[in-house]
Amino acid sequence: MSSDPKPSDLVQGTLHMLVLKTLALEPMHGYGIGLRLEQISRGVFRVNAGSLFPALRRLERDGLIKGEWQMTENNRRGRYYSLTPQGRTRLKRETREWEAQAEAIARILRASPGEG
Amino acid sequence: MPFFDRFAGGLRALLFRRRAERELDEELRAYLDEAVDREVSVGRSPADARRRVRLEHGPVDAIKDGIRDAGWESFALSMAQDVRYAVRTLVRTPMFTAAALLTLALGIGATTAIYSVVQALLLRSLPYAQPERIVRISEEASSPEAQDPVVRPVGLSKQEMEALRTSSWTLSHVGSYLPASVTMSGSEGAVRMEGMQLSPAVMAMLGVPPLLGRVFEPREENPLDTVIVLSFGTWQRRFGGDPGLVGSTIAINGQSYEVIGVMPQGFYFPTRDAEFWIPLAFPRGARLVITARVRNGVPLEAAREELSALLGRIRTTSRYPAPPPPPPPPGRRLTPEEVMALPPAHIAGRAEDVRITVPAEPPRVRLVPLHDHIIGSTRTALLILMGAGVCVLFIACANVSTLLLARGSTRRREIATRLALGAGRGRIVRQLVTEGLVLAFAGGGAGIALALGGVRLLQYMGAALPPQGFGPSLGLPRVDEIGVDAGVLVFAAGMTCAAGLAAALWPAAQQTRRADGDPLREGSGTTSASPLQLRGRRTGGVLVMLQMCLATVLLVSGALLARGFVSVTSVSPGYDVENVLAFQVILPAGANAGMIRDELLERLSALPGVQAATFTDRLPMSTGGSVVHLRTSPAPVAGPPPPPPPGASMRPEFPTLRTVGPGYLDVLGIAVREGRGFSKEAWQGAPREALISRSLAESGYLGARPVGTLVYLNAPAPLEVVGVIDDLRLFGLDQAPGPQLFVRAGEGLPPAGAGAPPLGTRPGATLPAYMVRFDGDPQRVADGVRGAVRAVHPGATVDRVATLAEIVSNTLVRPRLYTALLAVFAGLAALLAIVGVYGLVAYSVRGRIREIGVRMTFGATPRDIGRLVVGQGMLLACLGIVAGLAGAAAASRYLAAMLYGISPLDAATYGGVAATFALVAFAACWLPASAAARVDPAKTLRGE
Repeated sequence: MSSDPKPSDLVQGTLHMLVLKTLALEPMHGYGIGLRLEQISRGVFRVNAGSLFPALRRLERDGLIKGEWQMTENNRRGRYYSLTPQGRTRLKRETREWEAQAEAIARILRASPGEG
Repeated sequence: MPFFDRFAGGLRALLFRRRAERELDEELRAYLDEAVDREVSVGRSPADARRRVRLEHGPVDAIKDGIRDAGWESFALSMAQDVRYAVRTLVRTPMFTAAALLTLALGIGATTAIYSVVQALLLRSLPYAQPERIVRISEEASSPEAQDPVVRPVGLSKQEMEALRTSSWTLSHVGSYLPASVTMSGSEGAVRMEGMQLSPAVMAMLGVPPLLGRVFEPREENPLDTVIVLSFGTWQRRFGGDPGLVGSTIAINGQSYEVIGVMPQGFYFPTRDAEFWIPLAFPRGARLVITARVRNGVPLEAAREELSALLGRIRTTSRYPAPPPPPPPPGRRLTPEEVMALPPAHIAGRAEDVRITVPAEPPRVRLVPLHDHIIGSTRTALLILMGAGVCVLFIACANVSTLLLARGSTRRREIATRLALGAGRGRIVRQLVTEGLVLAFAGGGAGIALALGGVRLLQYMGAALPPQGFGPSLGLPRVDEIGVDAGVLVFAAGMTCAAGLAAALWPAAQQTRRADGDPLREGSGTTSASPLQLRGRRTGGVLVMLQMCLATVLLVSGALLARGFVSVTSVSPGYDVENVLAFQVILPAGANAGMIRDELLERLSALPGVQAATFTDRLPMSTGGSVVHLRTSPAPVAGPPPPPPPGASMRPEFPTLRTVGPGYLDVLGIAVREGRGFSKEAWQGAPREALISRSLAESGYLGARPVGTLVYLNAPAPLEVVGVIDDLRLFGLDQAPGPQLFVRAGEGLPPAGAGAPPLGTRPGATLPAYMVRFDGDPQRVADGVRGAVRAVHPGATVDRVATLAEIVSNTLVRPRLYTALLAVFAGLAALLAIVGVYGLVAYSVRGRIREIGVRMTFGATPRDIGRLVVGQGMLLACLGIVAGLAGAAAASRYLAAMLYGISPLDAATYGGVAATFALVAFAACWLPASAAARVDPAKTLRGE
C-alpha cells in the first residue's frame, strides 16, 4: 500500500502534487487530468492509467479531492474530480516546499568551485 | 483525520463492493474510450487506436489491481481469502488439526490462567490514592547473622509512633491498625463482625472519600470515641442499605457506637473481610507495625534512613523511669509472700525523668510497601509459575511448528507449482502464516475456555478456611479479584498471535525456499537427499532439544517442589494435631465472658468423648499474634538490647506470647521437658504461671536454669517460669519456631501483657478459641459442643468449627497450590516434549524411507536400522536433558525460597528426573524406529 506506482518519467511523489495542481485549475475527469498534464508539460510527462488511477484513489481516500459523476463534453458519463478545502491547503503547502527544494537544488547545481 | 477517512473509504469499498467495482469499470472504460477517441481524432483507424491504447496502458485488470491496492481493503480481502482457504485445509486434516489445537489450547490456557492471577495480584494496584507510597514500618527482629530467613517484624511503641508523626519529614501520615473481632447485638441476636481498629491517619492516607457521612477526625484516636465506619457490603447486608443509618447508633460489644460513615463499594482495607472500622485502641505497652504514607518524591530508601536515624535518636534521649533496684537473683523460686513483699518500685516504676544516653546499635527499620506486604511471598511463586506457563506454551508452539513442517512436506509440490507460476514468496508465506494464525486463534479460543475453568480451579485451590481471629488469609491473597477480564483477554490474544507467528513462520520460510532443490523435478517426492528435508530436520532437531531442555527444567523444579512439599507435610509441629476440635464462641453483649468461659470449660470436659478442653487467645497456625518484650526486671531498662545469641533466628527478649487455659498441654499433647505444666487448681495470687519454649530456655536469656525465674511483661506483676516445653510450630509447618512464652490465663483475669479487660470484650481483642481433645466422630463432638455452649448461655453461638488437622492443613494451601500447578505444567511440558521427539523421529523416518531401503539392501539388519534411528533421536533428547539439568540448577536459585528440607541442587532429584525422562524419550524414539526396522526394502525401492 505504501509504494506509489512510479511514473517512469516523474520525480517520485510529485504526481500527487501535479494532480492537485491540475484540479486546482478546474474539476476534471481522469483522462482530462492526464491530457492536461501532458499538455502543460509540453509532452514531458505522460501519465498512464496504471499510475493515474491509484493516485486519484489515494487522494480521494485522504479527502484531498472528491469525485462526482457528470457528463463529459463527449457525452459520456465521467467521474469528475475537484479539490476539497483540505486538498487546496495541501497543494499550497506542497508547492511551497517544492519551490524551496527546487531552488536549493538549483543553487547546489550552480555552485562553482570557489563558492562556499 | 486522514486515517479515519482512509479507513471509512476502505470500509465503504468493502461493504458496497459490487457497486465500487462497477464504478471502477465504468470510469476506466470511459478513460480508455477517451484515449481511443483522441487517437482516432489524430487520424488513426479505430483498430489501430485501440491497439496503441492497450499497449500504452497495459491490461485493464492490472490497472484495476493497482487501484485496489491503493486502499487497505484489498489486503483485508486477500486475508479473508487466506483464512477461508486455511480453514478448508485444516478441516480436511482433522487429526493434525485436533493435535495442533489441543497443544495450543493447553499452552495458551495454562499461560492465560496464570496471567489472570499475576494481573490480579501483582499488576493491579490497591484501590487507594497512590498506593505505592503506603508503607508498613517495623523493626528487624531477627539477628543480622541469622541463617533462617524467618522474619517476624517487631513493631514500634505508641510513643515512637507519635514521635514519627511529629518529627519525620518523609512521612505525611503515620498511624497503625489492628484487627477487631466484635459482637454486634441486634434484633436477631448476637452476630460476629470482623473489622479493623485504626488510626484516623490510616483512613486519611488511603485517600478514599466515604460514600455517606464522614471518616474519622484526627482527634478520634481513642477507644473512647465510639464511632464506627461501615463497609458498603456490611451496610447493604446487615442494614439493608438504609440511607438514614449514618447518625444512628448500633450496639458493638454492648457499647453504643455512632455510625459516622459508609465507605463506597469496592473499597477495602486491608482485606475484603473487614466489615467496619473503629478508632484504634493502642494496647498499653504494645508494639505495633506502623503504617504510613511516604511523601511524594521521597525515595523509600531515604525514608528508611531517616526513620532509622530518628528512632535511634528517640531511644537514646527519651525519658525513662528511674531504674529500679536490682531484681531478686534469678534461679531461685519466690514464695507468693516474698513476691508481695517486693518493693513498690517493682510493682510500678516511679516516673522519674532520667536522661540516659547510650551508644545504642542503630535500629534497623524495615519499610515494606503495603502491596508487597499483602502479596508477600506469592510474587516469586507467581513469576516462577508464569515462566513455567510460558515454557509450556513455547514447547507447544515448537510441536505445532514441527507438525506444520511435517505436513508441509506433502504440500511442497503445490507450493513449488505456485512459485513457478510467479506467485511472490511473501504472498505464500503470508498464506502459510495465516494458516498458523487461524490455528492459533482456534487454539487460543479453546485456551481461554480452559483458562476460565482453570481460574475457577485456582480460586478453589487458593481459598483457605476463614482465618481464626482476624488476620491475612492463608490462601492466595486477593483471590476474589482473580478473573478473566479485558486485560487478561488482551494478554491471551497477544499470546495467541505470538504463538501463531512463532509456530508458523519458520515452517513457512522453510517451505518456500526456492534454492532447495526443485520438488517439481523430483519423482514421487520420496527422494531422501532433498536439502530441504535435511535443513528442516536440523532446525527441527534444535527445536526438539530446546523442548527437552525446557521440559527437564520444569520436571526438576516440579520434583524439587513436590519433595519439599512432602517433607513439609511430614514435619512434626511439636503437638498432636489429630483428634482436636477447635471453635470460637460469640457471646451476646453484657454476658460475663470470664464466668461463661470457666463454666463452658467444665461442661466441655464433661462431654462424652471429650478428654480435655482448653482455650487460647490464638489457635496454632493463626497468623499474626503478639510479640512481647520479655524482661528480666520489672521496669523497662534503657540501653541497647543484649546481642542475640549466635545462630538464633529470633532475639529471645521478643518471644511470641500465647495466653492459654490450664488444659493447653493436655489437649495438644505437649510434653514438658523441664519443671512442670500449669497447675490444675484455680489461680490465686501472684505470680502467674508461665511456660517457656525450649529455644527460649536454651538461649541463656533467662539464665542457665530458667525454671523458677521471675519474668516481666508490660504489667508490673511478675510471671513465674514453671516449666519448659518443646518448641511449637505456631505459624506454619515450614516456619522454624522462635522463642515462645505461654502464660496461663487467670480465671476471669486479664490476659497477660495487655493490661486490658477480659478476652473478647474489648473491641480488637481476638475472640478466644476453644480446643477439645476428643475420641470418635468430630461431627458428634461438634454437636455436643453446640449443646454445651447453648446450655451455658442461650444467646451464645458457636463459630468457626474446624479440626486442628484441617487448620494445620490449611497452612499448606499455597505450597499445595504451587506444587500442584508446577507439577501439572511439568507434566504437560514433558508430554509435549516427548510428543515432539516422537514426531521428529517419525518425520525423519518417513523422509528417509528410501535411504533405509537402500541400507537394508546392502545388508543392514533391522537392528542396525533401529539403532541408527534411535541413536539420532536419543542424541538430541540427551543433549536437551543435560542442558535442562544445567538450566534447572541455574533456575533453582529462584525456587530456593519455596523449598523446604531439600537442597535446590539435590542430586537424587536431578539424577532421577534425568534418568526417567531419558527412558521415556527412548520409548518415544523406539516406536518409529521399530517401524523403520520393519521396512521392506523391495517395496520402498520399487515405489520410486
